Amino acid sequence: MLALHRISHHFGGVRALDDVTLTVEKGGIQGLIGPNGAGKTTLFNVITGLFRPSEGTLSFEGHNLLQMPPHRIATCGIARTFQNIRLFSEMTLIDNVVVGMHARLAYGTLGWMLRTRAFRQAEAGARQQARQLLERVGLAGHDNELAGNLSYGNQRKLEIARALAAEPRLLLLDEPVAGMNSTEKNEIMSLVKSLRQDHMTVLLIEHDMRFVMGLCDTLAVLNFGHVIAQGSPAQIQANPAVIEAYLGQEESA
Amino acid sequence: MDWSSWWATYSTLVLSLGVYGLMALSIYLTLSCGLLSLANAAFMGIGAYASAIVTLQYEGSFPAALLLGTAAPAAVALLIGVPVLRLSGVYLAMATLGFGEVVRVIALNLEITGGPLGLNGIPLLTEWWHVLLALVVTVALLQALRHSKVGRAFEAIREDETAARLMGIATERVKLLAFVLGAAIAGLAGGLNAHYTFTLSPGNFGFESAVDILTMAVLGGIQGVAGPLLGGALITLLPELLRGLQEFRMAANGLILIAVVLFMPQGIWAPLRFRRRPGK
Ligand SMILES: Nc1ncnc2c1ncn2[C@@H]1O[C@H](COP(=O)(O)OP(=O)(O)OP(=O)(O)O)[C@@H](O)[C@H]1O
Ligand SMILES: [Mg+2]
Repeated sequence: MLALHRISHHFGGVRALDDVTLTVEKGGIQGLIGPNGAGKTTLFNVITGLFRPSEGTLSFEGHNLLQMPPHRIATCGIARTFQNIRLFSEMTLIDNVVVGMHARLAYGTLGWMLRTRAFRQAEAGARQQARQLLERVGLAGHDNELAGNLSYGNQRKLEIARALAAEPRLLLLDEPVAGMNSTEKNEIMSLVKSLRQDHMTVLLIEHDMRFVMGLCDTLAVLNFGHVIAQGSPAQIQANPAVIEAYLGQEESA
Repeated sequence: MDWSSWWATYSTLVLSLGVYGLMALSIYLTLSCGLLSLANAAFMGIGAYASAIVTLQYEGSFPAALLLGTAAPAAVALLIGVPVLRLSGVYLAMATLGFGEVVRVIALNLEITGGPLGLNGIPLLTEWWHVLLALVVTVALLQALRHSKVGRAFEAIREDETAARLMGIATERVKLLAFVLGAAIAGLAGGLNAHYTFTLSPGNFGFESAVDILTMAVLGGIQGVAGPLLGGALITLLPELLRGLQEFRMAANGLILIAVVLFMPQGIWAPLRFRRRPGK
């Protein structure tokens, strides 16, 4: 459903992505791993239109993403979370989630100006659905708190709820369990697993190997902007190039 | 003092309260979308001139004058908004101030605007209820906007434009909407203003006025429509209330503003203040 072909992206002299070819198949959970600075977040930024790659092609369900502004890519069915949390911290939890539904709320200008029936129904429906999403990620009962007041782990959960609110077909999670305790990690794990039933495709970046190996159907490994391996978790764990990349990181760390 | 002599003395002040309330709302609109635009005074000027030209030189009706006074700055905003709104923060502030200067210089040099003398003898058509009606309609519009997806998009853009964009919000269009709507409100205020002040001159809508209008919103707070209305009223009334201090008036005015900004950085009207838990 998502196909990157020979994508390169440079920051000055840094080749953050170097000739990356990668496909994400519909359905299932794919992991993207690699040492710090490997280019994983950059890859997400390219997919979501924040960065325009210097070379290569990028398509999603037949759409050429390189010709779309970021908000159009989002409405095409791609939603994401951020490694460095980017919530609307002075908005309530429920409003954060409803913002995620922005493009799906179809009432026009006259709708909100005159507060028509269609407007009121759409808004009430959105709130209702937002409450369900908050419940789903484990934040029920905090609807009207400000997002900025949440604990770190709960902020990550809220970001997932906000991304799900767009009803994406492809969900990109950038280190969804970073900074979480093990209970929270297990909650996120079962949440992500449950997305299979919604026929959502997930591409996730994570450093926590137990989480990645326990969750993902397939894995891709990035190192210095190159894809160095792709395969099942078992294949990846046995791959000498991957072991090398991670050992190299430990030695230099 | 009976009613008619009271009104004779204070009508300008009362009408100004409403008109500057509108101006504060117009800048609140752009600020709530994260745009530090200082073009509102200039938009007010365009509205004032456009509507005064309709009644004074073409003997048009007052509604027609107000309509043009609202539409003309909105059209200008639409034109300049596309390039100017690529800027943000202080760069946007500087560009919009520069735009204000351009408008002032144009008004100074055109024949139809009366050049440096401005326009005189504008018919006194603005009644108190016109201003009240404009305020009520504007407040209703802004409240409806605030509680819709558009209002949430404004807030999202103000907090994190990139995140907003990735939520599927067409940020450029939404910002342009805020800019144009803000210009329309300022233009309406200008049209009303022109028809009770009798005269207009290019200096009325310059730098000082732009800063005053910004101060109204900063002072009142931008967490809702009540803040700017309060700020607009204060900035309009303070010089009157401090009249007794004579030459120290402007100094006292300044000190009050500094105190508010120091001790209430969110503005006077800041309901969110009470939502924040201590220590966070
Ligand atoms: N906006 C930017 N400007 C300049 N260089 C950048 C930028 N973003 C990333 N880089 C550089 O690109 C390289 C890849 O960074 P990226 O954030 O994609 O790594 P990552 O794989 O997500 O790492 P981590 O696991 O630490 O999050 C790094 O060398 C980084 O310094
Ligand atoms: Mg990263």
